[in-house]
Amino acid sequence: MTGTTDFDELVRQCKKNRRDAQSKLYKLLSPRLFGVCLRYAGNRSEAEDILQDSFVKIFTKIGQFDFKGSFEGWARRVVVNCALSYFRRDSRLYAVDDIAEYDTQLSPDDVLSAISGNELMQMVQQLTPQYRTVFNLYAIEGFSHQEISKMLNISEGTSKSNLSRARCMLQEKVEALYGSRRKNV
Amino acid sequence: MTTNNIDKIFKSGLENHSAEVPELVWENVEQQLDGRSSNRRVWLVAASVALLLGVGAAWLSTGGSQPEPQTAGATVDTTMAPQPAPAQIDYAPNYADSAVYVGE
Repeated sequence: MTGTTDFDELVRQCKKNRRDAQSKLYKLLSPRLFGVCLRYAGNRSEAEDILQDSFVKIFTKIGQFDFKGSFEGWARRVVVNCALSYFRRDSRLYAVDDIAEYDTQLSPDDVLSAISGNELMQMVQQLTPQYRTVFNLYAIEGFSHQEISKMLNISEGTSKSNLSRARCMLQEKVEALYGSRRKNV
Repeated sequence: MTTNNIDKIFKSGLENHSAEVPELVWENVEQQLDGRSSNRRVWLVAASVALLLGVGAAWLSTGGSQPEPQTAGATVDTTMAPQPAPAQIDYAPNYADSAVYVGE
């Protein structure tokens, strides 16, 4: 990142609670942050609730952003935290039995050329909240099991077993859809 | 760390996923920033008020035997009562309080 950019100036205006700047920032970031919300939510309406909470947090806590690192990265962390507290209210994370894990033989490039982002999103949303949360944090956000166990107040073993279950379910869905595409083409 | 293919598929497919956001979300954010409650909450409160008024009206139309000071509840048209309850209800002392509370 170099010097002062238009975007930094926009963030500064938002720090002064300028509504026009807030509206601009919202327009720039909301579609991508909504993508994050959709991954953690079970459906669009939950995702909208999380996005709303997130932007209220972003604009009320923006004073804490110190221009170290990207603003979008900071905003994403706010969204993830809002998603976690949204589901902390009504869902608990349980340990599940360890399962034998075997990875798919499909190549990611082949799968991604046959299955759309929206379809992948639907598969994630069909997971139970606890599997979805751990999978998102580990596979997409890149947190370690140790970090996840602290964030969710669960043991590392629970985090690992939830991840295995999530992977297993997603693998079944991906292979089923990919297989049906291959037959029909 | 992520060498798992399923992880790779979902990470590359969804990491930068974006989607169109309904207008209502920004309106709700603005309202919350202004210190007002969101539309959803307003509707929830409105629905609760309507319910309490209905219950209060039902109670007034049937069990008016207990003399209680009535303010907001007394102005409710008792013919609006949704379901006339059986006469002689003497176990519902809180409805009157609720009706007064809701009136503010």
